[in-house]
Amino acid sequence: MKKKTKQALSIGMMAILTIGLVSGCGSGKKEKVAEEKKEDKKKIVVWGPIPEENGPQDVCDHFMEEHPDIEVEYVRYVNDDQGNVKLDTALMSGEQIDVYFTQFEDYYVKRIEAGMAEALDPLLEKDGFDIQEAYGDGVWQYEGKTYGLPTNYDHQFVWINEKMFQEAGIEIPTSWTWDEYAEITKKLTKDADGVKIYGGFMKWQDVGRLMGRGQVLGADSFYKSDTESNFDDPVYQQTLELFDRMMLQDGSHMNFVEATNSKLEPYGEFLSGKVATCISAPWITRYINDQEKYPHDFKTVAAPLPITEGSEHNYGWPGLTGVIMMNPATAQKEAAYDFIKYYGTEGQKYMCRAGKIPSWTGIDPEVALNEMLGENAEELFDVDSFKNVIFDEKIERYYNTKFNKLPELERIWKEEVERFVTGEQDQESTLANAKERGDQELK
Amino acid sequence: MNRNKKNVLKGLLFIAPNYIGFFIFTLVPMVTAIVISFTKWKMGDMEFIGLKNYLELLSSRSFYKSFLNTVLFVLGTVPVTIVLGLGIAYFVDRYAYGKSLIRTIMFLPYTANIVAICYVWMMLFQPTYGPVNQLILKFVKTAPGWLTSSEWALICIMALQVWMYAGYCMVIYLAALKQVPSDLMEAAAIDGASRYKQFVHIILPSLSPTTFFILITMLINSLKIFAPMNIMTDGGPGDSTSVLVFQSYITAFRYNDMGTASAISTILFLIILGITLYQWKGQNKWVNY
Repeated sequence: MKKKTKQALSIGMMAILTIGLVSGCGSGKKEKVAEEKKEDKKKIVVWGPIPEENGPQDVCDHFMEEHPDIEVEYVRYVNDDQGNVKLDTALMSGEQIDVYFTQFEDYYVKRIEAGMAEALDPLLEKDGFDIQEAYGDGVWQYEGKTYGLPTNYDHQFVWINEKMFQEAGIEIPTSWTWDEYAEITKKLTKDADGVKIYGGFMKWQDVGRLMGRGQVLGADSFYKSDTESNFDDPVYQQTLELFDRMMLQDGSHMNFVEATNSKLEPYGEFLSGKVATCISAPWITRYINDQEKYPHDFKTVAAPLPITEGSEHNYGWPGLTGVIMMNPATAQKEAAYDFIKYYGTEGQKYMCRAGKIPSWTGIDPEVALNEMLGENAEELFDVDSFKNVIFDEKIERYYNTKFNKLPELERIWKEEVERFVTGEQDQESTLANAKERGDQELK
Repeated sequence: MNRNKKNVLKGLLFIAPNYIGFFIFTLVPMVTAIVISFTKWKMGDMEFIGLKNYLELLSSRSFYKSFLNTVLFVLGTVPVTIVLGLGIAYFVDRYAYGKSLIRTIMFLPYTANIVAICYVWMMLFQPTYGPVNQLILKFVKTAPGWLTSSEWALICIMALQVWMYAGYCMVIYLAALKQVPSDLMEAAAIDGASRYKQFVHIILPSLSPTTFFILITMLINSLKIFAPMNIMTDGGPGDSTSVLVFQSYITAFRYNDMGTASAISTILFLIILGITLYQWKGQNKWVNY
C-alpha cells in the first residue's frame, strides 16, 4: 500500500512537472511568435543576371536601410540559355522568387505569356507613378500593359583604341556610315608579329539583332505583317553586303562563326589589343577599369554607331532594358513593388559603376558618367567622347509589339547568315531562304 | 504468410529502391512528355490538339534536317567505334606490352567530363590558332575550318564521339576476348587455319553477345547525342550539326513550344524502341550464347 502511494505520488508529480514544462514551452513559443510578428521581416527574393558584387548588392543594402522591415536576398542567374531556363523552371516550380530581371524582349514576352509576370499598372496607378515622365519613350509594353520597369538604358556604340588610330594616322570620327566604318577598319587591319589584328569586332548576338532588327527599321523589323516575314527588306541585303565586305573580302573582321565558336567577347579582344575597335554596350567599362585583369596601355575613345546611308532613322538597341518584374505568385506584393520601384528609380545610381546607363531621368547624366568611368577616367578614357556618345539624344528608342515566332525567326536569320559567311550559299539564296522559311513559320 | 509469398515480398523490397527511382525520374516524365506531345503548351494554359504537333513536324525543314543529321551521326559513329574498339582490343590482347597502361589510357576519355572534353576539342580545332590546323598548315596551304565549317562540323563531333567510346568498347572487348575458348583456338591452329580464319570463324562468333550489347548501347548513345552540339556549335554553322535532341531542346527552351518539343522526343523514343526491339528479335540469327 505504501509503495503504491509512493508510486502514485511520483507519477502525479511527474505529470504536474511535465504539464508545467509543456505549458511553459507553449507560452514561450507564443511569446516568440508574437515577438516575430512585431518585427516580422518581410523577406523577398530577387533573381538577377548581374553578379551581386557589381552593384545589385549595393542597391539591396541601400533599399534595406530605407525599408528596415524588408529583407532582400539577391540570387544571381547567368543570362544565357541555361541560366534563363533555370529561372523559368524555378518560377514554374513555385520556388520563392518575388522579383526577377529579364534582359531580352523574347524572354519578357515568353514569361508574360506563361503567366509568370504580374502587370504592374494597378500598382503604378495607385502609387501615381508616371512611366512617361520617369523614362521617356520606349518602355516595353505587352498588349498595352506594363510588366516591369527598365533599370538601365543600353545602346551599342564603337569603342576605339586611340593608339592604333594614331599609329595609322586616322582621325577618330564623330559620325560615320557603315561604308566608312568598313573602309577605316580595313586600314586598321594588320599583321603584327604573326598575329592578325582585326580592324573591327562585333558579337553576333548584339549586331545580328542590331542591324537586322533595330537601327534602321526599329520595331518589329522581322515582320512585314502578322503573316509575312520581312527578310526581303533592303536592310537585310545591306547587312549581308557589309558582312561580305568585312569578313570575306577585306578580312577586317573575324568570321562570325569562328568568333562565336571560339567564344570570344568584344571586351576581351579589344583590351588584349587583338582588335582596333569593337562594338559593345557600356557595361564593358567595368573591364576597362579592371587594370589588374585587363592591363592595357591605350586610351579608349567612344564613337557613335555607324549609320546606314540614306536611312531616316537611327534607333538604339536594346534600349530600355534590364526589366525588373514581379512574380504573380509572390506573397509580398507591396514589398516587391517597393523594391521594383526603388531599383527602377534612385537605386540605379549604385549600378552606374557596373557600366549601366541609368534609364531613370532623375539621375544627373554627369554624375552617372563619372561613376561609370571610375576613378582613373582621365587616364583610361577620352571622357568627352563618352559624354557625347552615351547621352546622344538623337538616338531613337523603340520597343517591339510583334512576338509571334520571334525566336524561330531569329534562329532562321542566324542559320542563314552563318551559311552565308561560311561561303555555303550566296547572298541571293540567303535572302530567299530566310524569306521562305520565315513566311513558312508565320503562315 | 507462406514462405513463397515472403520470398516474393523480399524480392520486391530488394528491387524497390531502383524501381522507385526509375518510376519517379524516368517513367513519370516519359508518360508526361507523351501526353504533352498531343497538346499546345507554352508553359501557360494547356490545349489538347491531337496529332497536330506531329503533322507539323512532318513538314518542318528543321526537323528533317536534324533527323538526317542524327541518322548520319549514328552511321558515322557506331560502326567505326565498334570496329576500332575491337581492333585495338585484339591488338592489345595479342601483341602489346604494358596492356594495363594502354587500357587505362584508352579508357580515360570515357571517364572524363563531356563539357571539359568539348572545351579542349574546341581549342584543338580552333581554325586559326588551334594546334591541329597549325600542324596542317605546316604541310599544306589551306586547312578545313572544322567546327566552323558546315562540311566538317558534324564529322568533327563524330570523331569526338568515336574517341570517347572506342576505349569503352575496347575494355569490354578485352574482357570478352579472355573468354574465347582456347581449346577451339588450339584445334584450329593445329588444323592449319590462318589467323584471319581463326578470327572470323572462332573469335567473332564467340564475341557476338558482347558485340550485341555494345551495338545496342552505342546506338542509343549516338541517337541521343546532345552535349557537344549545345556546347560547341549551337547546332551550326547553319543547321549542319542540329540533331533531334538538340532540336527538341531549342524548341522547348528557346521557342517555348513544349508540345512540339515533346513530340520530337517521343519520335526519338519510338525510333530507339523500334531499333532495340528489332535487334532483340534479330539477335537469334547472329548472337551465340
